[in-house]
Amino acid sequence: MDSENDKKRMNVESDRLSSLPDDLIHKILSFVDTIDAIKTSCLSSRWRFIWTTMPCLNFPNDDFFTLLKLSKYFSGRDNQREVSSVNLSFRGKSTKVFVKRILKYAISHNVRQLNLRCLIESAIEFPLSLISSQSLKHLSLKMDNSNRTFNQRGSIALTSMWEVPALTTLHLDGIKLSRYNTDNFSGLISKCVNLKNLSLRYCLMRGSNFNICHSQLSNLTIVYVPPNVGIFSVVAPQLKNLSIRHLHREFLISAPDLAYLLLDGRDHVNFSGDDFNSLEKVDICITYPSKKEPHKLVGLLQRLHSVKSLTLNLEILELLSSCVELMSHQHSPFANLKTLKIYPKRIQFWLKEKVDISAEVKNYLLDSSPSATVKMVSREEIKAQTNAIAAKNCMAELRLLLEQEKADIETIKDRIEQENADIETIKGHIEQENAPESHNAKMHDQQNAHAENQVKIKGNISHINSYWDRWKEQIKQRKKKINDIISKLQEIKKLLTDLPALTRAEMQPSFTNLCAEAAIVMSKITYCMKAQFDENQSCLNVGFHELATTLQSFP
Amino acid sequence: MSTSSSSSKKIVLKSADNETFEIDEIVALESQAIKNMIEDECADNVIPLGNIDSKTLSKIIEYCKKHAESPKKDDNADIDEKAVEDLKSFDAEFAKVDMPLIQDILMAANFLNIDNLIGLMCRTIADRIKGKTPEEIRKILNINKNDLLSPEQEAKAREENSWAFD
Repeated sequence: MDSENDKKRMNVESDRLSSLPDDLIHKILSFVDTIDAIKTSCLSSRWRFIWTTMPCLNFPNDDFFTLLKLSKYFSGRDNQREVSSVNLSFRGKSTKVFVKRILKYAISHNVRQLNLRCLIESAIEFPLSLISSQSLKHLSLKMDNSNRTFNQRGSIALTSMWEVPALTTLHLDGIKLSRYNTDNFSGLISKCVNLKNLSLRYCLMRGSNFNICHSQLSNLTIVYVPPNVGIFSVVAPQLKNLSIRHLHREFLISAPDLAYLLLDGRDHVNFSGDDFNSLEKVDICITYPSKKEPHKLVGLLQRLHSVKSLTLNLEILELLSSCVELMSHQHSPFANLKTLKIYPKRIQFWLKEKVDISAEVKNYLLDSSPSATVKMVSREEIKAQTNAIAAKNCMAELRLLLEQEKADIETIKDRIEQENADIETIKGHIEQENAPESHNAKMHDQQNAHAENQVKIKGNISHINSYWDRWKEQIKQRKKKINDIISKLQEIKKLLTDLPALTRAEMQPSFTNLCAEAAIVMSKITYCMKAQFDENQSCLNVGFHELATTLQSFP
Repeated sequence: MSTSSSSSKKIVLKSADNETFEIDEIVALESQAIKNMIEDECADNVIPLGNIDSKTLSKIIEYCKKHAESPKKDDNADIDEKAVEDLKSFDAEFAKVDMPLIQDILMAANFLNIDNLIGLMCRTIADRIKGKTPEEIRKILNINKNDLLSPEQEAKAREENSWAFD
C-alpha cells in the first residue's frame, strides 16, 4: 500500500462514526438533549439532517420548549418518518397544550412507546382519550414523587375512555388513582384487549378493595399497596409471572396457569386463592418472618406443591426450624422439585454465620423429591461478596483521593513559586521604602510619629503571628490528609483480610499498587510541607526584618 | 460465580490481524450474531472476524466475559442488586478509553450484535459530546475534514434551526 493510499485510509477510518448506519447515530443522539441533537446539524454533511429522522423524541424538561419552538421542531422534522418512542416530562396544566401537541404528533406518526413523567404538585386530570392510539404498544405513566412527602403528592385522575387496542405493556408508577379509577380499574384495562404486561408501583388507591381482572394478562408486578386496601385480588387466567413486593396486604390470587411467583415482604404473609398447578419457579423472601404466624408460611408452601425450582431465604427456614411440630402432620408437598436454593437475606454481624436447619424442615422440603439439588448460600459467602464489593469501592475512592491530592500538590507548588518571586519584590520595596521613611518622620510631630510607630510594631507582630497560625493550620491539614489516606488503606486491608483467599489473591496486585502509590503521594505531601515551610520561613524572615527596622527607629 | 469449566464448549475467534482468541461458548453467546451462527450450525472451529482488530476484539471479549459471568435477572433479588452494582462499576471502568477505540468497539459491537455494549458505547459518546460546541464536537469525534459544510451551508443550517441555537 503506498503512502498516499495509507493516508487516505487513515483519514476515512479515523472518522468512524460518520460511517455508522443512521440508527446507531440516532441511538447516540437519543442520549443527548433534543436541542443538542439539533445542533449537530452544523457538524458536517453527514450530520446535516440526521436529527430530522430520529425515531425517538425526548422532552425531558418542559421548561425549555415554548410552543413556538415546538412547532418549529416538528416542522423541521422529516414528517414521513414514524415516531417509535416519546419520553416526555411535564408539569401540570400550564403545559397541557404542549403535552397535547406532542401526543397528537406522536400518535399521528404511529408512536409505539410513550414514557410520560409528571412533575406536578397538585391534582390534575389526565384524559385518557389523549393517548387513544391504534399503534401504541407500551405506555409508562410515572409521577415524580421524589422529595415529596406523602401529603404533598399530586394526583392524577385518569378520566374519559381510551382506545388502545395494540397496547401490550402498561406501567403505572407513583400514581394516585381516583376513587373512580380504583373502583373501575378492571374496566379501564379491559379496553386494552391485548394487554400482556402490567405493573403498579407505589400507586395509591382509594377504598378497601382493589381488583385486577383481565383475561389476557401474562405478567403482573405489584410493588407496594397502601394500607387502606384490605384485599387486593387478581383474576387472570392467562397469568404466567407474578411479582409482589412489600407483601403486607391480603392478596387473593386466581391464576391457575402461573409459572413464576415472587413474593417479597417484611413479616406477614397473606396470600391465598386457587391452587397453582404449573409453577416452575418460586422465590420467596420474608426478611423477618413473623413468629406468630409460621402456620401461614407452611400453608403457603403447601399451595406451591407443583414448583420445580424453589428459592427461600434462610430466615424462613430458621423460623420453621423453631416450630417443627407444625410440619410433623404434613406431607412433604413438593413432588416435582428439581432445585432448592436457600440464601440469607440478613447478614448483620451478630447473626449466626452457620445455621443448622433441623432435619424435620429438610425432610418436609425434600422428602417428596429426594433427587432435588440443594444449593445453600451461607451468610459467610454473602458477607464475602459484600466485602469484595466494599473493598473495590474503597479502593476506587482512595485512588480518586490520591489523584486529587496529586493535583492539589501541583497547584500549591505553582503558587509557592509565584509567591517566592513576589516576596523577592516585596523585599526590594521594603529596602527602598525604609530610607525615605525616616525623612517623613521628621515632618510629623513627635507624638503622632510615636503612636504611628507603635501601631506599626503591633501590625508587624500580628503579621508574624498570622504566619505562625498559617503554619499550624497547614500542618494540621496535611496531617489530616495523610491520616485519611492511612485509614483508607487500613480499611481496605481489613476488608481484604476478611475475604476468602482466592478473592483476596485477585485483588492483591491492585492493592499493592495502591499502597505504593499512597506512599509516593504521602511523601509528596511532606515534600510540599517542606516547600511551604520554606515559604513561611522566608515570609517570617521578612516579618522579622520589618519588625527590627520599625523597632530601631525612635521618632 | 463463574460458570466456565474445562468441559464446556470452546469457540475460537480470529481477528483481522490473525490473532486467535479461545473463549467459552457461553461468553460467545453474548453476541446475538455468533449465537445465530452457532444455532444455524454455521460456526466452524474458528470464526473469522475480518473487520475487527485484536485490540478491539480483546476489549469486547473482556466485556462479554464479565456480562456472561454475572447472574441474570431471574436470580434472587438480593444478590441481584449487588451484581447490578458491580456490573455498573465495571461498565463505567470499561468505557474509560479513548474515542477511536470507543468507535471501534461500537462498530464491532454493532457487527456482532451485542445490544448492551452498543448501548454502553452510544451513551459514552453522548456523554462526551453533551453541552459541547460544534467545534469541540468535531474535534472529539474527529469528523472528516472533507465532509465539513461550507461556510454558507453551515450558516444555512444554523439559520434553519436558529431557534435551537439561541
